[in-house]
Amino acid sequence: MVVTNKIKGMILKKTIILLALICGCQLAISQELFDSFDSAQDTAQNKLKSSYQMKANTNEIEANFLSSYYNQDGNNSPVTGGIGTEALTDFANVFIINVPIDSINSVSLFGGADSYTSASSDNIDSNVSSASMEDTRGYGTLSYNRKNLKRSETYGIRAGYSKEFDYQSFSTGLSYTKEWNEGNSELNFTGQAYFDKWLGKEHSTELIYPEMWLGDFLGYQKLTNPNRNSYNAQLFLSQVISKRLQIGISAEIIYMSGLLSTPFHSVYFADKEDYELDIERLPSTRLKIPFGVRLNYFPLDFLVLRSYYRYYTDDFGINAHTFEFETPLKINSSFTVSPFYRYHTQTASKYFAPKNQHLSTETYYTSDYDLAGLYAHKYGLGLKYYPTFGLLRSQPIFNTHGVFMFKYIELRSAIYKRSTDFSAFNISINLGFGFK
Amino acid sequence: MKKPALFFLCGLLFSLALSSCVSVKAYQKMYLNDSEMELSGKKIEMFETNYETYREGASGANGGKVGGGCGCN
Repeated sequence: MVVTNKIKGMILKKTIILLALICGCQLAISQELFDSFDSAQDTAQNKLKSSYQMKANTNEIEANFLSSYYNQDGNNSPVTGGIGTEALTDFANVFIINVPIDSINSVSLFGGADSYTSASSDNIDSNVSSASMEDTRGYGTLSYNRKNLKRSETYGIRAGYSKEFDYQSFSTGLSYTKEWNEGNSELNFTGQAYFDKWLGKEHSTELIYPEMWLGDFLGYQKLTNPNRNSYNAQLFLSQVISKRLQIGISAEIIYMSGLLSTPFHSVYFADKEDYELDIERLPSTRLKIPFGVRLNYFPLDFLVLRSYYRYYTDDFGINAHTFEFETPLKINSSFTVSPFYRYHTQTASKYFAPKNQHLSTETYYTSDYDLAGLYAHKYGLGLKYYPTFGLLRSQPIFNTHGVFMFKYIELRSAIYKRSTDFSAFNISINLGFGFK
Repeated sequence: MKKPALFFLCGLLFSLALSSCVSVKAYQKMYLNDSEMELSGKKIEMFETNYETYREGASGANGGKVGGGCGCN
């Protein structure tokens, strides 16, 4: 009891010291900031402060076309019980358009399609060319935003849908943003819900199981609920610290329920023969809690430092840390080169074990290496070419209507290596357009 | 769970405390308005965020998706 009180006292002391340091930093920063202004500027600023209003929508329609090629390989596919090829290629195309209706209302559309080939999914059954070998995923989200300029608030609503051969998802979401302190502080709340469903083979309601799984014959139960629902609430606070420094802090809660395992993932046991394999079994709920911090700094006119850290924890037993660092270098007014590095480490889920290490008496088991203890490095390079007046610009249409602009082009390539002998390569392109 | 929660709370207090004092005017935001200074993942990063979400047990707090799409391959 005495020891507990001492520990509590120490924690309290540390918290007080920390808060004192925070207040000190706050004073130092604000002092430095305010010292740099003379009284004449202050008067002018006070006038501006009283007349500050959040930014209204511009009359420009913005659009982006993004395309990506992704390739991965490894030898721990969960489809074949934690061994076997994970080779997969994915070609993705996304189109985003944001249309301002007037100064306060806007609509945006996010749509895309992925085309992928997966060697592991092809191993679900022995057909030489099954539906799972090559497939397409289509998705789209429509959003509507409305601003209240006087109150510096933005309200948003969105709805989306996606579908692939074995999975479909409906989603809906709400968002609220409030800015204050002349736009130097902003708080955003986003709530989203996903209503997903596992699908069976064509014209069948039965889920897709591994061909080698003997199911009922060995006394294993089939899955009865094909639904998976996810709800998430996110709070994001962004704060300007100085003319060159800003921070963003995010906290999120994600609750998932339903069928959280994958019906065609296999598990081989230590106490049974391999032909007595079962499908992956996981609890029907999962709570995920990630916290993230972004700190961006513009120390020199040609250099930006972008940093990100995330702590993650969930009730599957995974604790993870992620660090990311990017240094965009402005070669000239149009051209930016951005090398980046990311490190991720996580502990294994309590339900994970490699092939032939689970006991069949356990309630939950998986050999999916995405849930294993691992670390991963990602590094790469981004290039952006954004001339002041754009790359291409049309003549005004009929001499009166707007101008179409091809504004910028962006390329980014990344190499990803995971400690479980898994590697991936990705290259993406982003084309930015405008019409006004 | 307690440590990150404390860390988040301190960060939140720090930011809220700053919000009462720091006041950078719109005409002084030349650096802050640069697209490289955005406090979110870049659009072109969305594909990477997507596969990281699938290939790692952890996700969220970075603007990535948290549902939809099985990522089971």
